[in-house]
Amino acid sequence: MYPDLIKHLRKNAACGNGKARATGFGIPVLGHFPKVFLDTYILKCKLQMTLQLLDTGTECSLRICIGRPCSGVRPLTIGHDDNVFLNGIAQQAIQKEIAKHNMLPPNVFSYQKGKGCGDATIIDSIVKEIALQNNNFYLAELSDDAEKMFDRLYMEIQLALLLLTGT
Amino acid sequence: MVNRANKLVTDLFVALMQYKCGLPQGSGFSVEIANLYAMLLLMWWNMDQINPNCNIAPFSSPRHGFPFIAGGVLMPISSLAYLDDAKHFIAVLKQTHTCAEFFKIVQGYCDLLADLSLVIKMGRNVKKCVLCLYNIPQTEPVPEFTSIAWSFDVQGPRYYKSCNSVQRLRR
Repeated sequence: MYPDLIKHLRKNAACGNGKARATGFGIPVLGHFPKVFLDTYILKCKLQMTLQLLDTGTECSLRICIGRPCSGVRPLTIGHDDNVFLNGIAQQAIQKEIAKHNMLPPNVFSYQKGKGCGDATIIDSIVKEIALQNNNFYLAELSDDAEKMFDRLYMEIQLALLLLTGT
Repeated sequence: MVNRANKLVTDLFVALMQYKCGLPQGSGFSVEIANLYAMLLLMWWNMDQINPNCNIAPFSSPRHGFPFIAGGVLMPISSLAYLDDAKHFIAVLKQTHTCAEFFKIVQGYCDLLADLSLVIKMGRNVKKCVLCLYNIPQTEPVPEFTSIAWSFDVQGPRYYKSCNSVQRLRR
């Protein structure tokens, strides 16, 4: 994971000016300082990844309400801190492991390599078409809509799901 | 997200909030967790809807899957998932089952889904939980499918009647 981390950090530090405010700073800011600053920052990140302990008190996120075309609003979370950056590195590693071990069944279509929402709708249409053409099966289609799914996934469920992956 | 300073920004106000649970939408990590939740849901659907002591069927040969044959390869289709949108197909051969038996199986799957909702306290939007039935003979009366699932609004179990849509056979 460290080569990835160092590569991403150096790439980030090299791009643009970045912003620094009283509440925090963007990683590109480190590109303006002598090299030792970035090296120290990388060391800190390595320690955090090794100990699996993120800094406390640095976390900050914005939930901005975006209007939906039908009705209501959808909150979009924007995070900008060290931990968001390190989480990004960690999630890439988890994603790679899940893909490598073929954990997800073939009928999960979201954000899988080579798959998309279109595949699900094509299969859905074909199943109904064949069922109606041949008429040799009773067929029921049960659609589930979990209410506020992203907001209701408790820590316990998240951990149980991660255990399923062997994380 | 725990111990995170959260700020809610709207057109009217800005508020500081305490984060209790959930996932930030838009993060790659959330996508993975949501996909794993989808996997859990599909695994749950692979249980026997009548006998809870039965094994969970593997994804390669699910119970009551629709036999989809393409290029000489048979693939039973039982469920499809895209993040929080999931659907389950229940296909039963007409030669081997009566319509009443089919309805009993469908009711079993409704109960199964409601049980998961109660266990993990994931509310269900009754307007968007739709049951569509295909190839039902014109003369066959369709029963009302009901279940007791977790409700986000009442923060407790609630009795639900499904929104049925029936595709009758006209031959």
